[in-house]
Amino acid sequence: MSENLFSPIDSKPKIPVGQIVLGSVLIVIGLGWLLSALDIASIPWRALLAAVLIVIGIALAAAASRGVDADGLISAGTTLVVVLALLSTAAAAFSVPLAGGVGEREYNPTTTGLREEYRLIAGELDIDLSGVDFPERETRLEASVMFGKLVIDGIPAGVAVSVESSVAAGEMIVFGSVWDGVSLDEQTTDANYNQAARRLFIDASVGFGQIEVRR
Amino acid sequence: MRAQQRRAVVSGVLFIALGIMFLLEALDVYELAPATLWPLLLVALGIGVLSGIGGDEDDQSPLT
Repeated sequence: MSENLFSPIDSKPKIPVGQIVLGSVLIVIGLGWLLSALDIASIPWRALLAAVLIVIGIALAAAASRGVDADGLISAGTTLVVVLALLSTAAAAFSVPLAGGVGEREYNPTTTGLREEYRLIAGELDIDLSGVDFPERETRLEASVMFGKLVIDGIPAGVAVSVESSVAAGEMIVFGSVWDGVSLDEQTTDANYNQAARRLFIDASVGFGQIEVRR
Repeated sequence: MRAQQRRAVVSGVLFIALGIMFLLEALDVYELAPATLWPLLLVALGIGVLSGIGGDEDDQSPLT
């Protein structure tokens, strides 16, 4: 008889903690990506990924302290730390928010639908302001693309404009003036901006790519 | 506690601490300069590596 009759019976079922956590994380990230792609929500990716890292840490510490094997969580957590560190470094280096989706986005806002911020991580972001009836005060608009192209046009006549534009590397074309190179940072302001009743302040930034602002 | 288990617990705690740090930065509570961030990560990596050192004290089964 080759079996050991006194072998301890392993009565504890193995809980695949690693698979449960990683599967849940993939679902959350996938849903966030989908919502962002459908333009339903603007996902703050760095905050979301940081929250995911905290969840992985809690699951790993809890599972390990109970002697439950949490395969893959250390690798997943380490990968996430590296990704977050690179994102943080990129955000600090280029001063461009890492928010928004990926792809081509076109916005034609009306007066009530004009947002304060428009963000895209990668792709082309077009904002046509021709449908906006700007009020008699200063309206602020922030727009950014980390990788790609940002176009703002259709600014109505009678609205004085001040544009603060910055590009880490690429090209800026603001009302016909062209700059290209690295670490570009320019302010273009209409001469009558401070006296005008209706004013539009645009803060436009691109990491790598092009900004174009035109009437 | 076995070395592998100890490393997992320490890694979990480090992930929680780093996650809170990155979350606060993402929420603009403070700015984390790269010159501060990367040395901190090296320290965290070193702690994680050191936590796995040592024999597995509980590995001896009385039946073998």
